[in-house]
Amino acid sequence: MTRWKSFSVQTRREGVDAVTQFFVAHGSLGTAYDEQLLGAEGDPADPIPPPPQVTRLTAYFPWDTDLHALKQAFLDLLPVLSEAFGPGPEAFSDATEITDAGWAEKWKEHFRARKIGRKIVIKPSWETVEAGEGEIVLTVDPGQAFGTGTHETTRMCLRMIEDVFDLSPAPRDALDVGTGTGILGIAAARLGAKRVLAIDTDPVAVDIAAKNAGENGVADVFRAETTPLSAIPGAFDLVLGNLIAEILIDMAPELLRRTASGGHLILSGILAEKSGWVVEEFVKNGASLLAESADGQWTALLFRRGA
Amino acid sequence: MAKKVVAQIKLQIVAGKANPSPPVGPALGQHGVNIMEFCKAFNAKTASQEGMVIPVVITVFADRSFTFITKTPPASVLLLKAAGLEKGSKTPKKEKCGQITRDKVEEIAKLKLVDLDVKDLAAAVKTVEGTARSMGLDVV
Repeated sequence: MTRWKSFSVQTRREGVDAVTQFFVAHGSLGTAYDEQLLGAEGDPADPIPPPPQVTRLTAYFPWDTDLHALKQAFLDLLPVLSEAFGPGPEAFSDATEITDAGWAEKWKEHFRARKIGRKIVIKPSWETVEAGEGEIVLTVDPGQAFGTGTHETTRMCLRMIEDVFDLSPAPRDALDVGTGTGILGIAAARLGAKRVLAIDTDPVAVDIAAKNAGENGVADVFRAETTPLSAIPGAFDLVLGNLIAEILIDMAPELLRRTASGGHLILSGILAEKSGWVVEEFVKNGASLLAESADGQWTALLFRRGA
Repeated sequence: MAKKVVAQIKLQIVAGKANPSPPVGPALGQHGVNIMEFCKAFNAKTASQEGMVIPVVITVFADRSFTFITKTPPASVLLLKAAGLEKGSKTPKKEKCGQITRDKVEEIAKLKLVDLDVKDLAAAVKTVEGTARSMGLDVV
């Protein structure tokens, strides 16, 4: 089946269950509502605003549904809703025919293999890419964990990781805090780290990171856990944190305690206007700033912990 | 990770049976979300409730990764179950489909309180009662 019909109405939020039930009784495949488009700009620390009290609800139906009869039935429901909930905003908005625009595959258009730094190329699993000379190809599929290499914060981190592994001596081990897909820790392993510990509070992310490590051939040196940062023993030559400014500032002493003396710390996910605070906090805790890079509204920072 | 939310959307779909057709396809496709990944995860998580319509809130981040949370079943589904019915009335204006006791309505309101986004239990009871009436159930 590649064609359907959609029927959109306006309803108060208390009415969503009742209206959905009505459409389901008429053969609906399901409803969508309370859509909020927040845009690509903005601060990850901002809470999601509550949806408006009056929402647009779209019900989807099989192709053979009679939209005219459905509209009549919905108009008949309006007085029932007013009686049940009190007078309200319920109204018909629009009804239309829809065709499958290749939804199941379309999203893949957003994910193409691309070279991120001097060496690292990131590709999704459905593409085949031969590594050029000196190139390292990482396979990461987008899904339920952050870090696909399409975001500025991830890209800047990866470039800084490359830089750190060009130093002598290169890091022997790495700790990736808030690993998501595991992309940063996996890059560190592919660049030569002998041991990578990746942590995330989200168990789904930990599973995905472990799976990605396997797909990139580094399962033997890469471990993903939900262990909190405060419970991680020892110190690492390289510590990675692509989080947000507020969390990095909160975790500054803990992050530096896990950075070996003379080791490096890469921080990302920092809005440009907040980078000064982050630098101040980490310098106060004994780190020195080696490099800063900016991309769009984002900043990434490279520190060394004083010997 | 610097997870900036770019979109959020709610769906009511059949547990254990999500597929790329509507509402999932059009709702998530436009945001560049990996639809099969969502369907697999949602179906795995809701397998035990298969066949029941349940609400799910999907959050999409700046790099098009996503998370989702399933909610308690809709008040309407709980009401039908409590009343021993399969479907609500298609024409609640003309035709009632059954009855539900006030006690049951309160019980459902208590269960739904966490997800209803209302001030207190009294408001939740009012919403559940309204839902019952609008689907052709008399509250007795």
